[in-house]
Amino acid sequence: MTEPILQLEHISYTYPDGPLAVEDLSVSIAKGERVAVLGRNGAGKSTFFLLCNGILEPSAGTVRCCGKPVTRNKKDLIELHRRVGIVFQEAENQILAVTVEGEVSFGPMNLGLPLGEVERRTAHALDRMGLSEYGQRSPQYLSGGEKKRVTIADILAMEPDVILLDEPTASLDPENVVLLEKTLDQLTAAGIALLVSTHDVDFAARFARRGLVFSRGRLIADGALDSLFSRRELLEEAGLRKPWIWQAAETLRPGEGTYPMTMEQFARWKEARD
Amino acid sequence: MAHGHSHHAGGMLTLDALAAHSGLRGVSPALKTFFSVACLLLCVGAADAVVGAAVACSMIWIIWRLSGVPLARLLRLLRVPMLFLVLSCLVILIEWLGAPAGLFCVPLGAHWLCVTEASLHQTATLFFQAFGAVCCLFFLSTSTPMPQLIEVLRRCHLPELMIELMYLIYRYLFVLLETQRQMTVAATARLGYVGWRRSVSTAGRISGGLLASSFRRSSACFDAMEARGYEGKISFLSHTPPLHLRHALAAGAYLALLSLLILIRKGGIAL
Repeated sequence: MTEPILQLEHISYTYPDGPLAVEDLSVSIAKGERVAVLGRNGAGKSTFFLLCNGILEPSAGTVRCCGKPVTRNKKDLIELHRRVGIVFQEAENQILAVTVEGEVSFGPMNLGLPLGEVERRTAHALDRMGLSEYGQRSPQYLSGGEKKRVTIADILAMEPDVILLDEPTASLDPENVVLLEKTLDQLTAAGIALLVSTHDVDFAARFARRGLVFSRGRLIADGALDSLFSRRELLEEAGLRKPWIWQAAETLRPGEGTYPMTMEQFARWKEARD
Repeated sequence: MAHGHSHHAGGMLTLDALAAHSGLRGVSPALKTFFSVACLLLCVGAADAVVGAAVACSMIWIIWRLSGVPLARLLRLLRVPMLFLVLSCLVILIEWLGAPAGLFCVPLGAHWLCVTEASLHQTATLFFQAFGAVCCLFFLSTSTPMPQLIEVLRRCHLPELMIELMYLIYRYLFVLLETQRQMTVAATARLGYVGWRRSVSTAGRISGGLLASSFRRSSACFDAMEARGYEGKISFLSHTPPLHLRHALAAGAYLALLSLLILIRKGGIAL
């Protein structure tokens, strides 16, 4: 068992003017893991992300980064910001600079790295996202998919261990979703743990083995996706549906415990039964 | 949002797009700024129609041939300052006199509207002086992307806070314009712009909505900045094209020729 990179222990958080946003949340993320974060809008997914990165201060509980508890002292927080990056849903809210290169360099600059190192990381992150030619472009002239890649490069330049992506597929066309899935595979290959919040269960099934399900500020399930989709009462509570392939397979042969969730699994499942 | 720039129709955004694709974007922005300001000062200082016309024509040629802005597009852009110039020049051209005098007169009641030789000369001087100056500024704004211009100002030791604000304003201008565009389209689709009264009230509501959405956005933006370790100072990597000798020589040659022309016109050198 690998040492967990990020651990949340009995975390609770209340917004100053609102009800309890997250209650008694415990979760542990290992190196290179891929996790889908599911649940309705307002179920606490975004708050969970902001807590992981240390932007929000939990009212109770401990966040551990590489086993070490994170305090509110500046050094610890900077370390957490560096190790756990968030790619926000709205690229427009994240992109700050007026050139792509400037944008990607913002994180490394804030880490107080020497200029040469900032340049190296920026160039490397742009290269990994296929944006090397875009350095001097202005963000207002990029397409939606290009903007999404810029926001991922933003985080990559900080050389994180965990990247949290808030609904990355929401504003992408199908072509860019395929591109995003390839990008995510590259990140996993580089040993970066990925948490992706999404409403698209078909995408979630392709992307991850493990799923976290949120409902009303609570983490109501944490486990293998196929075990989650076989629990009817859980799906109802979280407002989820089963992946289409699962539903198709279930229609073909009702009564089995779990079903395939992706095309490859379906092909194997079908072969085994023919 | 798709690839095109088609919906960026406003004048300022056109300039921004032109600068982003200018053939001169690789020239040191400091040189371009110095060059256009020097030309502007010479043009205004010379106060001479021929010098003004020479500056205007050469600048238009530079913008057209070197910066690569289609001539038709440039002339369209110049329409607004032209209109303004022509209107102001008319006021100076026509004098309000008690008796007919000068080149051309029209009686109006007990008085005369006249164009005199002096007023014609003054108008021509002013017109070309101002037009040359406008062309100098157009040269700068069609060839230098705003980020590079801000970097030049940073090197002129403008306060850091102002530089940061300029960057943020420039960035969010585009975000706000896009939001405004979407809201306007949505309002138009619901007949929000039928009739003058309703148009005014819809425009008011859109401004209000824009303010509200800006507030919401600002907190989301701040979260995103903090998530990347923002601690009160905004700094980016920026690459400004370096100064090349041949660019500096070309600018120097132009300025020398212009100075020579001014000297000739002012009678400093007899031909």
